[in-house]
Amino acid sequence: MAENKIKAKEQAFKELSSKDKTKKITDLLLNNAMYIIIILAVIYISIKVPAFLKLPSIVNVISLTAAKLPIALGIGGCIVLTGTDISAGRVVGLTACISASLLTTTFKVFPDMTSAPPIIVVLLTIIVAGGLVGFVNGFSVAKFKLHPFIVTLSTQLIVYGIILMYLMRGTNNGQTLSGLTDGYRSLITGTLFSIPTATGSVAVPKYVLYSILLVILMWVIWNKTTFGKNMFAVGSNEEAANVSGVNVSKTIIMVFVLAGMMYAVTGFLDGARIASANANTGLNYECDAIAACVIGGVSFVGGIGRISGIVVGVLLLQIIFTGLNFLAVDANMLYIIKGLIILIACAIDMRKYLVKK
Amino acid sequence: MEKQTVPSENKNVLLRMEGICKEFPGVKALDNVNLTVKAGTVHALMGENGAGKSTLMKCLFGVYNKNSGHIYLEGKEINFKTSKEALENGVAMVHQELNQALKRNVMDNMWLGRFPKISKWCPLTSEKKMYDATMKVFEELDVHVDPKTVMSRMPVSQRQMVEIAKAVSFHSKVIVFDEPTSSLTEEEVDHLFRIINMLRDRGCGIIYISHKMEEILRISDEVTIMRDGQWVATRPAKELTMNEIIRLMVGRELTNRYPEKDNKVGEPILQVKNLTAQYSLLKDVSFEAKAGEVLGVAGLDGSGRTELLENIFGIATRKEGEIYLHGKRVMNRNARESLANKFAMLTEERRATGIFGIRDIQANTTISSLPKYKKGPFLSDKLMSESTEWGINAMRTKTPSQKTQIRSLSGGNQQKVILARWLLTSPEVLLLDEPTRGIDVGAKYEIYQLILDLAKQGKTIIMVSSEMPELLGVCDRILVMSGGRLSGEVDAKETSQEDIMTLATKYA
Amino acid sequence: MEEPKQETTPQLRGLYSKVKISVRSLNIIIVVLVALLVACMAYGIAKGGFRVSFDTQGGTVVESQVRMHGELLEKMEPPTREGFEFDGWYLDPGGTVPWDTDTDTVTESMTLYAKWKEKNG
Repeated sequence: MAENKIKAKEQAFKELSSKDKTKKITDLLLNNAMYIIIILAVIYISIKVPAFLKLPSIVNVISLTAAKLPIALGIGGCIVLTGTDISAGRVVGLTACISASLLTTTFKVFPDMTSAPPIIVVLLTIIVAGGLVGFVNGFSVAKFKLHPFIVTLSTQLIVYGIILMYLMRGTNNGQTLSGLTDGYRSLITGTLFSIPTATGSVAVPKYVLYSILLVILMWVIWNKTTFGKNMFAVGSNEEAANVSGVNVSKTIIMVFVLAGMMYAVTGFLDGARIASANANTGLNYECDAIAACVIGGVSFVGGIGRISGIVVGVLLLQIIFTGLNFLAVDANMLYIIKGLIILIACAIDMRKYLVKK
Repeated sequence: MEKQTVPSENKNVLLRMEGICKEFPGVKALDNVNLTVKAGTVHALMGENGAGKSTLMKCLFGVYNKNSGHIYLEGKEINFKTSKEALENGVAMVHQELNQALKRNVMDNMWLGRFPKISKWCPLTSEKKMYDATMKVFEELDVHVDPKTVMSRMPVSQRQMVEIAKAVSFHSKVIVFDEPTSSLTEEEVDHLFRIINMLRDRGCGIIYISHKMEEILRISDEVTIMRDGQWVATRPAKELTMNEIIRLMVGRELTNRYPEKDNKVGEPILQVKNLTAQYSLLKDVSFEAKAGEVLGVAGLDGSGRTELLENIFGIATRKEGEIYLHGKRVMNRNARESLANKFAMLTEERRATGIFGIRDIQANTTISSLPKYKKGPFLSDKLMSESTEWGINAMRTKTPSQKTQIRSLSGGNQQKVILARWLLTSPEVLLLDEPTRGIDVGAKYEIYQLILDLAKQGKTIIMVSSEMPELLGVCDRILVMSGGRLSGEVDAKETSQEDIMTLATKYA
Repeated sequence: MEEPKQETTPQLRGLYSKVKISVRSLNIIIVVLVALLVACMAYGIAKGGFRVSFDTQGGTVVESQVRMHGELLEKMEPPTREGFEFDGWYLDPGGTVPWDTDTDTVTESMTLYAKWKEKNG
């Protein structure tokens, strides 16, 4: 069946005139330029630094991918609505700081506390906090018709202010929060299972599992619920969605609230993963997440996107940056490369939908 | 302004359009149209909505590329690519909808894109030159507007004067007026006509597009009438009467482009009382609709037809008025409520407010009836694809599969998908706004058949259309709107296009 | 005859609804950007190496080093300071996260901070 299809495609290709052939090839090359670059880069890196393809490095890439997935899953929804969310990174920072301040043994922020509250309570608290920021974003976008860029730019600043004030509380005086409880750390970074290698074994951390669960959850929400269908409808044509009886405002607000909750989970994982949290935790995370979504085919055209695309996008981005790190490329240069990747991804995305006009 | 009776035959031909044809996919919009405008005359262009007047003008200004035909300006063949090129060659248009930079002042708008420079060597724009030049044009036209007024602070009529002044400042030889009086008061119309007469006396050729018969007879020297994209007649205005014009405009034969009507009209189920809109001109509309009836709504563009449907469906803000279904009051404050009350609405702008272009057929079909497919908290793919399949079969939609993006379908098939979307909500009242717009003739017949089938199932259908033969062919009764009010109600079997046209211009 | 609306209404909305650019120019933009990206990567790789600087916090100056990914720091003389005793390198100025020059490998550009103990007597 699949073979027949490929053959039919080959046949169709052969029948094209040479001019059409060139056009087809250009289309193919340019529309997949991002993937081609990444594949070439990976090949180059693995030749130069063979350790890159060894098991520890692969597990490292997968773990880092898992850590960055939830935030991308959240932002993906905002992009489907033709919006975006640049407050994401700061929300991650805020929730990481809250988790680190509560699930600690030192209690610098709350000097009166003596023992850490149950982990589940902290998790619920930060999910509510993330959802609240998301609600403010969503409400402003839905009701005041402000552009998500402007709205989330403001909330980003507000959240940053809150983080700084929060860190000044008690005896902490703006310092990095550390000294997390063992329960919290082992829940997140504990070993899920180990893969034995020649030189010992490589541990896969537990948060990989949590990320997988979140991916499944989001897939169900996007594909199997009324809310998901409505989200795509609003993203592809808001007016038509309104006429079709979709509650447009509610849908937009819910997308942003869900996104906020996802950032909260990211913050929760990150606090334990890095073993500390400060005002810079989560900085620029939204850039990576937006880039990953666009690479993964969540289009700014609106109404287009798949969860699988987001996963692939995050993974590819992680591979390329881990690879560049292996080649000891300076962090300053990485920012420039990241910016260029976002630009190229957008240009390619735009091209795909221009051609079809 | 008394009508001038200059014999126009011996004047020079300024603009000649010959054998203009323009085709859109599936539709022949212009078929061999001729138009000759002589210098120093006002030439009225008339026709029903969609007769091809604006398409003809768009071909002149290069907005559309004509398929065949020639345009001559003062004997030289021209083929403008953009309206800027047209302007530079002395052909200007005063649009019905003003395209102006409202936040800028009058002279900025006048000289937009060609600001005068201080001198050849100094590329800064000269406010003074701009001001003087503007004042000069205004004095010529007897317009009393300070060139430094910000556009948005002026009434529409004055903004229109600025637009005319702009056309004059280009030393235009041919000026097209597209429905210029639709927002003017009696006095302003007089002023406009004084200006038009002055331009004519200077030797300009004026093309005047309007629906208003009295105006046409008052201002124009010659009248060209179009119908269905074809040229019908060009006559001196003094030989025409209002009735004659109406006859020429609508005088086409009804062929059996419509399916046989076999729906049975039942009891009245829908009452609309004193419906008045908050933000549009819709005023005090009351009517009744019966089960199994196809109720047409006729009227000119901007007569409030669309607004009527939007207000019933709750997607426009209602000021007052009540709607009763089966004697029970329904609020219909938004589309969701209307949906729950078993209303459905097919909107006029299919692309803008109908389809989800990049979504597939299934998503487009099921979006309004999603709760129906729930199994527990999740949607069932099986139920959704069954319903979609039903929609495709019932509407005879031609599509490769359910997973095809809707934008790759033809207009007619898109319309069928949206109809299926609404039928899946099992509505009792279907509001259809221009259900056959942009659809080829064959598909139109199928849509008519679907409408009548639905009526046979006892559904109430309210259908807005600007094509009068369509209304006469499909509807049982026709409401005629004019200037936002209901100007009459006629029985489709006993009325004629002439009657409807007269009613439609009642408050215009 | 009505005219199809497609010439006036944008078919796709979203962030690109106002984009008026030809495919050709977009192709050029993509190619240029890709070239730029490759150039940046090449430059970054050529100039590869993480700069590790040392903040002695009042002690004698220690030269910064450029190391590749996964390498140990080069052996160096510990800094000295009048009246204090050197107590190792730390990742933060507060001196809470220690850096073991014998086992810790470099994975990013960073600054190490010296920690001092007051000399007794």
